Amino acid sequence: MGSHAERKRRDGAQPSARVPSASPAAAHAHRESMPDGAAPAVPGLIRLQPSSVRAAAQTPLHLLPCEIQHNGPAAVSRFFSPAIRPGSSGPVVSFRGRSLHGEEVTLPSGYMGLVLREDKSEGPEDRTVQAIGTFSCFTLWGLEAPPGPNARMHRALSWPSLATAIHAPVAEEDD
Amino acid sequence: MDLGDFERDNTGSCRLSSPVPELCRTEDCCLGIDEAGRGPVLGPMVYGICFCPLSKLSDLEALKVADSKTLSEAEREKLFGKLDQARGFVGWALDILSPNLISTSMQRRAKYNLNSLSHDTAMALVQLALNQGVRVTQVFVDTVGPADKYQQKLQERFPEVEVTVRPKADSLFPVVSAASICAKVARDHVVKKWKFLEDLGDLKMDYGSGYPNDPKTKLWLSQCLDPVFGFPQFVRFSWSTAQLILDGRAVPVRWEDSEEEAGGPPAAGRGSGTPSLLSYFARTQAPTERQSHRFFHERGLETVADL
Amino acid sequence: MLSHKKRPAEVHCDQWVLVAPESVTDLPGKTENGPVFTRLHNPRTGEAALYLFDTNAQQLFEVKAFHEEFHSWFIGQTVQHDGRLLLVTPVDPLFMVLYYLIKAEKEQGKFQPLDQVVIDAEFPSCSMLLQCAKLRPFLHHVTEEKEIGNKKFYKYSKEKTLKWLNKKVGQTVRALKIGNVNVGARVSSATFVPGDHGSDVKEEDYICYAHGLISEYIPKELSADLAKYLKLPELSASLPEPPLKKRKVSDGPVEAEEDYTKFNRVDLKTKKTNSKMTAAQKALARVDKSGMRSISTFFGTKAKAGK
Repeated sequence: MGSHAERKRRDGAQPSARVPSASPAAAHAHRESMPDGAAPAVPGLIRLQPSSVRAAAQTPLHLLPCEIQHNGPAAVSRFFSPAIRPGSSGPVVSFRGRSLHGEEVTLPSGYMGLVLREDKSEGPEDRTVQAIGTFSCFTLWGLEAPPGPNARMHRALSWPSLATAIHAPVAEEDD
Repeated sequence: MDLGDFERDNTGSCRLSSPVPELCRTEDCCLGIDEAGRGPVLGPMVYGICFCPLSKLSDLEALKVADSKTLSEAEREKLFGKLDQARGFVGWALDILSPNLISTSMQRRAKYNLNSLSHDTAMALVQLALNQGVRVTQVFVDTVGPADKYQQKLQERFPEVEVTVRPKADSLFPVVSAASICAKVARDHVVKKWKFLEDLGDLKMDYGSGYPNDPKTKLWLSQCLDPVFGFPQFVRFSWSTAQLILDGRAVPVRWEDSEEEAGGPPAAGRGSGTPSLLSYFARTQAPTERQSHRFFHERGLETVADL
Repeated sequence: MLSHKKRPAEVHCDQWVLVAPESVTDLPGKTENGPVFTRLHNPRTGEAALYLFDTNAQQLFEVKAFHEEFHSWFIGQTVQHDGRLLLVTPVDPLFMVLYYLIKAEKEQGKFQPLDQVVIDAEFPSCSMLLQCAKLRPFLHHVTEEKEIGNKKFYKYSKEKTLKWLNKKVGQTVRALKIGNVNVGARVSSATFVPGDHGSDVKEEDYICYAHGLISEYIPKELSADLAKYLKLPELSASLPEPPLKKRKVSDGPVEAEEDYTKFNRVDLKTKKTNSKMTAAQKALARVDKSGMRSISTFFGTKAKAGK
């Protein structure tokens, strides 16, 4: 990418910060005075467009146990969804002549799912992503067997609660 | 023939059977087994058994049952009607195996080939007759595969019964002809009344005989092809005709067990992710700092460097 | 940096499936500056990693990917080749700032205003860290502070930092217990049963594990210092272990399919011995470890030399 352009912006953005200052207080004051809401003009940000999040609609998601080497339209509602039927342990379907067993996965509480897409119409420097869908659960499909409680996905989804605990500020009192 | 059960769910298998004639419980019976729709790339495969007391064999012959393949569809319907009227001494049972069941069985992780599927289905039907109290003493089977092995397999499974496996048995033994008529009639009905789960829009259902070498069938297959999903479940994905079209014109799909076929080594990171000690040492070429805690490995969690 | 080219070819796609706290995605009507993704130094590796600031950069989050091979998404009426699930989880900004404080301590070693410390030509967005709500009130945990006039000046304090990290380990241990995380013997994911801990899981195992997790967020040197501070046995404290199923602590020094260099063997043996030490031996071992080198410090040195 245009690292040249980036450098130019960067230099322009923080002239005071880049000079090893004889007067640290001045630079400090400059920073402190920055209004709370205004993100500094830093390059290399990928912005999530707030209006797109508000506009995004609930979208059904299926995670398949195979790699489909394609990005783009798929006739899910014509070929896949109508073929899903209840099985003994959950939904069952076939894809490409292989049997799949599904399981509903709910996101950890307090978490929300977004499908993001990059808006390429913007210039190459300012990247923007838009939410094109939201979800609070999805169907996890296993090949010929349900994913079950030992599925890695379930363990992965235990990370947010542990992360929250690790990264909470430590208790102030004792020492 | 009431195919309602299968029509309600045409993704699995379905069993249909006539009432068992009282005579078949009191007299020694012969039982014929045949299949319909083994070859086509479309629709179900149907297994049929038919049984009747040995004492009534001449009555069965009098119905002029013949190999279903030599009969027109209308003639088969008529003969099935006659068999139905002969319910005092003729019984039958069918297993309808949906194309989806065939696809998913044959493409299973632990492959289940068509011969095993056929044999197991046939044996289950014989067992059904025995369970229903039919006094089966002779079994006649039509086969396309090697007769000897099949005969041995059946004989071992049913030692009390005299088993005859014979190519073209459907034209040699009336009880096999009768079974082939039942099976073929069921397959014809199912194919004709196939309810597509998929929404195929205004695609014409002009798929010909369903045999892979039928140009109409081939044309229809390429017309209904979806680049992502392939075919509707009416198609047997496991047939090479179908596979070839997929390979050529559909999006490539890789499964975790499809690697061996490609000849490459199993992909890394699959399953439990347990690299050897050697690979650990090999990694010291790269900065070891990249290794993250086992908590993350065990959960398939990776660091992301960029969107 | 945020170059498209640098993204791995196989995930080259402009669409992602992401799970984030509702606090991030809840964007009331007037929000103009929404959340932003950006690349920052991973405080452990120093390498670039993806982070997210919520609206007005009040909170910092990291982005990890749940990634299993052979997976793709159906999203509405589309297919997405990249089957990853990106997880956005909170990060204590103090870890990120600590990285710069330690660097400044090494380079300048004096009291400085924070915005002189948190400067990075490679990752200019690091300045946004200073906006995080949970940063300034907690800086005193890792720094000495001086106030001149209205201005605050900071200097890294290893002593205070270790105390702070000790508390971090403590709260992590509590969370591990609550979350029923298996901190005991390594298990392969195939046999992993949540909550099925070995009966011999000791407090030390929890501390060790928590130390490993905290070490994901601090430079390696500090991780080693923390291990000493926590009085963890030298080697098991030394960082992320690779996911090895075969190597158990109780095993011999690994089947030598290849001729490992001599010191490697010694180190593996040392590990074995250490892990079997009695409490008294451990106490003894703690007295002077300066002469010992863990396997990871060895590799770490080698890796650096290779750069």
